Amino acid sequence: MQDHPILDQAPIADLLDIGGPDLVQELTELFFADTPRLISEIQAAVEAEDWEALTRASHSLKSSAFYLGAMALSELSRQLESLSRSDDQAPCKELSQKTPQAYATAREALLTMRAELPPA
Amino acid sequence: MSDAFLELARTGKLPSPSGVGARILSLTQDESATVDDIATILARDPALTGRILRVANSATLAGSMPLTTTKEAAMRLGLRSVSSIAVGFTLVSSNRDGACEGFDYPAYWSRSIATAAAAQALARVSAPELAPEAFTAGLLFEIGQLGFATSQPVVYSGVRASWSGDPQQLLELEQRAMGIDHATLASKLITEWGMPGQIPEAIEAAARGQTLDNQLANMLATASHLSRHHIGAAEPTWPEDTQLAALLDSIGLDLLDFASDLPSIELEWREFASDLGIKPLAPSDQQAQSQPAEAAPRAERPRVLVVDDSPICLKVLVNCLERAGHQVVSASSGEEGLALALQHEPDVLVTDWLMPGMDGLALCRALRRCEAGRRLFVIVLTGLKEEDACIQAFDAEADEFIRKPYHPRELVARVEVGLRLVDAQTQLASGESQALGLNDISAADTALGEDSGRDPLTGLPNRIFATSRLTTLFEDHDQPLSLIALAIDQMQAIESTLIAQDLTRQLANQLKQELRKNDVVTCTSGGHFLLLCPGATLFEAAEVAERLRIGVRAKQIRVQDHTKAITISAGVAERTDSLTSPAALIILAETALEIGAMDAPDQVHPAA
Repeated sequence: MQDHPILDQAPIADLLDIGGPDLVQELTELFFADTPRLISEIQAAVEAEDWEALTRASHSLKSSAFYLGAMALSELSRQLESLSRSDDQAPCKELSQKTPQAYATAREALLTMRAELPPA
Repeated sequence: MSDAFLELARTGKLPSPSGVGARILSLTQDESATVDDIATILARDPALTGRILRVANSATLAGSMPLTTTKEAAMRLGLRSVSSIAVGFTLVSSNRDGACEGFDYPAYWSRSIATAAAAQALARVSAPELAPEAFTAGLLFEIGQLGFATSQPVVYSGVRASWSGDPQQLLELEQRAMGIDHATLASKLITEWGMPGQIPEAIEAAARGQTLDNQLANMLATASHLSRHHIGAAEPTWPEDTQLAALLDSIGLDLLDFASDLPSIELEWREFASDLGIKPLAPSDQQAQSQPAEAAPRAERPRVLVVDDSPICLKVLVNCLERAGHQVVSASSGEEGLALALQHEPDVLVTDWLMPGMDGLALCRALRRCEAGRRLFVIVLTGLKEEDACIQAFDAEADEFIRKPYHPRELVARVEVGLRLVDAQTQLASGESQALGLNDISAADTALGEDSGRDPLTGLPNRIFATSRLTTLFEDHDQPLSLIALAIDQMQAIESTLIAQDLTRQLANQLKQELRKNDVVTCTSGGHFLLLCPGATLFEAAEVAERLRIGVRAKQIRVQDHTKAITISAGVAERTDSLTSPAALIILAETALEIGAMDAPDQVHPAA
């Protein structure tokens, strides 16, 4: 996990380039609104051992976290996705339990970043 | 003047009969071809057969037994007449539309069919022996103009824009712009297609207004006048048309007597047009020479559809594409994406694979089942790395397959490639015609030292070249000569045009590499190739073919990161003393291929 920072600035810079501070605002709002649902879907899936549901939810989270530079969260999701497809889903439980904290950390970092953006 | 024609021929975009038409053309150039040969070819195309019979029956005198088979038609009208009619019809289907903005393709065909119907009707009453030729001559009367539109779309747009409507002026404008006018171009094209000489002669004379005593030419001039002014007209203006009276007089007909024929000509026109999928347009609707009205909606039409169930991914993508100047519609589910695709008919689809409900591959598969969906460039986004996942995507016939998460800019670049491919593709006519195509024939590629056309898709010489080169080789009896006809077995099952093209290109490259020193490979149409093997006996050529077959099978042709098991079938034929023409050799090899491939694909089939 060391290679995956909590927040990588490069994707944010790209987004600023594409749509300015407005876009970053909108996307972070969407992220905050959407992610809790995904996390509870992940946990419910692991609980029910519904690996397909886990694949979908973790795949989704992986991508959205990635676009916003939340690399540590993205990597965690990627591992979950990969495991959900594999023959050995045992580690999923433990990993999925780390997700809420990973999200909380990412959220903080994003809020800080957002506060430092130039005004829209 | 012949230089100007060669210039046009070198573009590789002049109209030429393709598919069945090309086969029939080969046949007419073969002196030993029989009525049975042509019947065999036509038997595979019932629609075309029906059209030929309709023309043939119209051309024959009332009271004769109706013709019900192509064999009968050929026996009554002659092999060449029937062939000409067939070739004429195949040209319609492969040239319905094209790249020339200043050229009104629908009006062109509506008028051409009207001229054909009129010419035949006129012949029936004034010179029945000319009736079969009259239909074909009428249909191809303006083919020179179509030839310019397809081979020089930009220049010809300019010519049409400056044209005031006077027939003589058009000839002058064309001559100045391209060094040749449509009358000569028509004559040259039709002669090249092996049609009976009186047809090109009459067309050229009529187009120049120099019909003199040429009866067929006079009929054409009259028919053309009718199609431009009276056939399909809402109000009958022909009674006052003194020019028409003069034209009819030149073929010994009276204006008032003629009145009774106009309704039946119109009926025949509508029937043929409907059968050929052409809209019959009244003369007043033909005046528009460009289609500006159509241009505006196309510009507003969203060309890209993005489907992803993650709102964030969707938003990033839409923003990225819009910033790059593209019109985008978006959906957050496969089902919604399908509905939008059918409604807006975009050119590129970017879809996430993994979605609840209808996933990306299911969406792709569903779209490939419909016409608009087959032309679509599909990019599937996925997080998978496994090999079989790739194959799944490929089997669903996605065109491109990008792993998530991706860099948004990279995706935009891929979308733009997709858009360009679709643009190029819409310039290609439907079916197998390679006469229209992409631009840019490399000047460096003159290794073979020939100046006839190339197949733009593969860069290989095309059928015209194959035939002419084979003719040279055919005469050289100092060494044996064999021919291999090759085709990709899986081509029929492939619905995506872009994948089919990519496969053809790849196979072409592979064939080029595997050739022996003197062999020549040419691409005759999508997925079909002819290999000329001078110095090879049937046995030796069969060995070459077998080597190629195994090579293709082993190589597992790759299309955009995916492998697909492609196999080829081959027909092989050797020149023998009983074969009297190069065309016969081609037919022998191609027949061996067709029949052999049906029963036993992925094999080499020597001609019996």
